[in-house]
Amino acid sequence: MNIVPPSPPEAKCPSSHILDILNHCVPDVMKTMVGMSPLPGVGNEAAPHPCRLQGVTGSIGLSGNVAGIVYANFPEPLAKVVAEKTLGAVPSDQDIVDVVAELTNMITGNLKSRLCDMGYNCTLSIPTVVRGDQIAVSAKSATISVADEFPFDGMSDLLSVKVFATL
Amino acid sequence: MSVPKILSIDDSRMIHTLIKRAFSSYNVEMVFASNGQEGLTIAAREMPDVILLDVTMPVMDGIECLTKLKADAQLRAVPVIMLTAETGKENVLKIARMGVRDYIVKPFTEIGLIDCPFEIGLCSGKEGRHGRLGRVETGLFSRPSPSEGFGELDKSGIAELTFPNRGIKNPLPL
Repeated sequence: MNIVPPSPPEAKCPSSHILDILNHCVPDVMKTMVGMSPLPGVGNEAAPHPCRLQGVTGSIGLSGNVAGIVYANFPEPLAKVVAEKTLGAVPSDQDIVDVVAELTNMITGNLKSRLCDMGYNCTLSIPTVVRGDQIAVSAKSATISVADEFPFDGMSDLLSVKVFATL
Repeated sequence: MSVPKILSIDDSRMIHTLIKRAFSSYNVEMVFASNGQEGLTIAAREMPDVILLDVTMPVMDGIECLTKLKADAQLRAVPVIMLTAETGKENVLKIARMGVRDYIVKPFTEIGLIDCPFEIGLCSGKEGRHGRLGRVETGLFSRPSPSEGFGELDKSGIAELTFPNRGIKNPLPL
């Protein structure tokens, strides 16, 4: 009798799937919460790292069947506009940090949900936010290094989302 | 009649600000907590009519908080509405079985946020759009819903977990 083993999760989670998820959930989060609709993302399935980040960056770790980290980087002027539109008032520095943290949480939560549905169960860390002009991030052992950049009409700043992960 | 009281348990000040703004036109009292532990303390003191509960929080997360709420004889009947970005089927089902009343997915619209407490009949609006509805069904189920939400679903068949206007409609095998 032939015994057919149960199907494992997909043999790998292609970077293109992650890009597809980001291209769906980032505009959804930005449109729903901020009222700003980014233009389609310019994705890179093999983003080089380390890479530099400028401005306000939210980060959330993934642990479990997929381990990694998600960065959502807002240049300072964009972060201020986003916080002001979200809260409906001139934001304080702390407001900007809070908004970036929560938007990062929403983007990563949606990504996590889709990954879980594909068989890659994982849990999220609490968001952390860093600010600065010369921040370098890397993930030495990451087998997935995806970057997606979202322009906004009439603005020069890009919302940049990076996912470093290992399956 | 006392003013309905809503407790929001979320570590995000942004979410608290949006909730406060969303309900500012309505005749409700808002109280806030920034983690599950603080939420339990405030819930016991304030006895809210409904709790909006995040999942991922420091100190005590939403799952542990919900477990403790449902184990507390005084608080177990308070309707809990989850407010989270996590919508994976397993996660939703796990939380649903713990007896939540509804599930709001982040990102959310102001209307979607307001409708949830209204649907369980807790709030009245100055526009009179909803009025004081009394206790009504939440629309969580495609079949007659138990009073305590998902927690009383039998496990013999397929339950269609439906969250109106919140983007989830998953036929899930139990």
